[in-house]
Amino acid sequence: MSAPSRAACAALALVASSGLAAAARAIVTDPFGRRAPPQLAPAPVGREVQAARGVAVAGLPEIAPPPHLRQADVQGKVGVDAVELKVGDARTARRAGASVPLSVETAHPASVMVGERSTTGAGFAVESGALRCETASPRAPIRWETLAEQPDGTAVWTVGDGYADGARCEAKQLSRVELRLARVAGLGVPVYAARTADGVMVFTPRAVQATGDTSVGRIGALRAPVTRVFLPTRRGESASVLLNLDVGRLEDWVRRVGGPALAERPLRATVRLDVSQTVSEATPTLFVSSALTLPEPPPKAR
Amino acid sequence: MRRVATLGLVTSGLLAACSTTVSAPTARAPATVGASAPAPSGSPAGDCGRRVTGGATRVGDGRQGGVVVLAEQATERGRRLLAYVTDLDEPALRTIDVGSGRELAVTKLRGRGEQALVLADGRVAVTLRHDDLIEVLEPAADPERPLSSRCAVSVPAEPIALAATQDDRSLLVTSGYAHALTTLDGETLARRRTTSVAREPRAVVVADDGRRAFVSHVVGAKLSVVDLDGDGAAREVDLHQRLGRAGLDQRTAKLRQGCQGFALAKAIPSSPGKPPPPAIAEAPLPQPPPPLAGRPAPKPIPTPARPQPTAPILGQGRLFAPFVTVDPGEATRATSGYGDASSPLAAEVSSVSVIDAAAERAMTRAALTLSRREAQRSDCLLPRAARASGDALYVACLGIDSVLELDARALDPARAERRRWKVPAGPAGVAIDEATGTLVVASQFDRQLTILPLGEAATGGRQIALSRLSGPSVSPEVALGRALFHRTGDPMISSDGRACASCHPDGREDALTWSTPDGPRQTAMLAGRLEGTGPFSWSGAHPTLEDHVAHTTQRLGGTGLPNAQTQALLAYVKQLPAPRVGEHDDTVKRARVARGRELFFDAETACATCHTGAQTTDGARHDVGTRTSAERVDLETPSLRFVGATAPYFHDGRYATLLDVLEAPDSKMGHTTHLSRADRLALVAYLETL
Repeated sequence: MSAPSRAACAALALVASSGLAAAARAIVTDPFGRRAPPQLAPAPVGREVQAARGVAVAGLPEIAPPPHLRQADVQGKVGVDAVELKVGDARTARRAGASVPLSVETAHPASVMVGERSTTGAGFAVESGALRCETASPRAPIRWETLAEQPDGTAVWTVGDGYADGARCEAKQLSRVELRLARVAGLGVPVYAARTADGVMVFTPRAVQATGDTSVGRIGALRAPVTRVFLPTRRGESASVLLNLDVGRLEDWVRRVGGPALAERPLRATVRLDVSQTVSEATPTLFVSSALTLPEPPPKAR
Repeated sequence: MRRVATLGLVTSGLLAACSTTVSAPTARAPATVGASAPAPSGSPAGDCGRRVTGGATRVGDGRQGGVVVLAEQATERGRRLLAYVTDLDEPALRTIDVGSGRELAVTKLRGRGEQALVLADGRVAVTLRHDDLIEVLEPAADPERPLSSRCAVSVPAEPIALAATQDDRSLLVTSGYAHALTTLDGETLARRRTTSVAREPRAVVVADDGRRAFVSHVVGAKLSVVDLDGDGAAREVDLHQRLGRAGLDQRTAKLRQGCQGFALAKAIPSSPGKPPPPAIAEAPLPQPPPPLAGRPAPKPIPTPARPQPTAPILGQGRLFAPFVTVDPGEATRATSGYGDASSPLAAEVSSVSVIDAAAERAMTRAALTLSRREAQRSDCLLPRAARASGDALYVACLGIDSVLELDARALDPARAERRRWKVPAGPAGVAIDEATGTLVVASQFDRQLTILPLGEAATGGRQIALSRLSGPSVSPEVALGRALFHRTGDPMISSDGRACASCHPDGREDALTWSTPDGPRQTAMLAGRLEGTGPFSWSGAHPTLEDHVAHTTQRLGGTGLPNAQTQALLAYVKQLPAPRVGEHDDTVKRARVARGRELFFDAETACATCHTGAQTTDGARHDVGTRTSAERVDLETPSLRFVGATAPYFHDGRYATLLDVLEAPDSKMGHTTHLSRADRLALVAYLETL
């Protein structure tokens, strides 16, 4: 090979190596062929605010929820006027043999259950009459509940038990208990809890959807003013519930309970409840996590 | 004495070019310096002990190995925190001064180190995955000098993770391809026992009682439990989760599969009244230049404020197993891609299973979500390392190159994220110094350590660039391919966040059978199985790998990779190290393998009719029977390389074991129904050597 051609080859090799180097640089400097790093799947529209708290169940106040009254329990019972219960127009109803709505005289979230049928309480639309005013109507058990936050941050769960007397078109009260709950979560989603002899009773704002691993747990009626979840605690056991809250009612709910007001209405609000205790742990753990998806702030004016 | 010390210094100076040293004239130099190294042995009694005193010692309860492990050394001014870091690309162990951010020493190893563990007396054990060895190193009194190699111990194929028992009398090592947990003497490294466990074991921790070891598995959604003082038999803890849907009855809910079980952490109970650990980084040090030009420096991601301190929750007996729950779709239903896009949850969702160690039972039993969209926020699809501290769990995530701080009190901590930090690419190791509240993260792809203070208000961190022995050890193209292979959330690859490594962890397969437009198809192994095995896909429809990559990204809903990136991806995949198939060391097993080989090539059995050549495939299609009418009838002959570790079997994963394949009356693969059970077992033994 002559000298010029050797030089040409050298030049060609230089060009080729430069090209390779440039190609290598091109890969290094722009590894993904774009400026922005890859993005994850989009999150729900809006800002998300999360809060979580773990609580030793042993540190919660202990309550003994009254057992539900059975139909037979109220036969022959004589109570006092259930002054907290608001009975609809009984006179008209008695004449027509119709049902009258029942609600609780309170500004706090409340619910009424007559027999197996529940209605929502004061402050929320009463959805159906539950006291049927008929002479032949048997007495039916009634339970009404309210939840109110106290100045010290705890809450009081009031449970009234009584019966509806259809023949007289009136409601009587047999007992009334006030049970103290601890506030276990905040940040716009107040959650209260207490321990029972065999588990944890958790109270959340009205939920519209629930999913869970509750092979051992129970959940109260959805769409009630207060969603009540019972999660049993046993050594070596665990249970989880995820609740989707009614954001349309959440603001009003917080105001009625008496907790700190929400800064803005969320697009979505969820509460997850986990109860677990390994066989080695002395006390179960209640883990409460809430997530609020808030709307994006409006773009700044130019 | 002084002369000996001088001699040692001179010796180390002479060997400085080799980046290694010997601390005493009698010590044997590692093979990398060309001196006579101790021969690998399963019984190195007397060879592995310490020969010098002093040097750094283990930090706290650091009895679990990792890509980065911590040691401490007393100094005149107090305590010096050191980090030993293994290297994905180079046969080296680096010593880093965490406080100053300075790399102090580089110790050459016999091979690339996978994990390290500081033993009770300060020695450092390193698994050399691709050499089937554990190398034991001894620190010098001066941490700025490299460690000296004391011995190397052969262990079953692919040693990966290490752990020490509470009394430090035993050292445990998992072997990936050999699916084994080996117990070694903590002092002499003599092998005591090897226990067979399920496929692809990775992380190992020892229970608080010191009597049991828990082992995670990359595939199969399970942990193995091995009694350390019993008969060595392994039990399993099921990590499968049911899909939680609206309504509460879980009994009929669908069971999700699992994958990516690389990590395992043990709860470190918090102490009542213990204040949050102080931060050590008073001010961020100057940042090193980013490893790749154009890549932004890691920045902490702003996160919501942490909740107020609560009553301490003691996490006694809890283990945390980060993994990914998977819904591969119904086997009987053809889908438009890989898995069922109409499922209420994404195909892959990150999770951390909480395990009650004493009860040997998973406490996390349900994947709870209210919508598919919510699940897509779960973005740690490639968890690689985890450590717990108090009520926090730290998980290093490939793909998103982040470390997550999760609330360890939740039943699925993956759903209780507190904050996260963006770190350089390839986070594969985390270590915590409880004394200073410091998190150390090793990013293997970008060769960086990130030091993060864990205080409540701490947001910053600093990085330490790791040196190279001599120039880039992987080509830029392979480096790019590796990044792409592990990139989750890349719309070019998939529409639901999945990466190549999601179904091909470590370049292998997820042991799952996915619903596809062609019917149910088992994921194929890549590492060591690509060259000479075309055409590709179960149907053999893709003549080139480029075609197959394009087809795969299309089925995943991705927009597709440009050609340069496809080539980079293939460059990485083609160089993935094949598993090391160990040889049987007992004559009975060798005889069985020989008999199996005879049967494999026997004309009547006819295995070798289709499974021919070096890659054991004829590259042709055959009708081997189908399960559903939606499937194609003819299927490409798959390679049998490493078939012993790719269960389940058949294109639709219908057989759990190789023996099941050979005993199946409906199998159209060869003729094995006439074989005796002993011959079938011999054939299995041979297949396991391929």
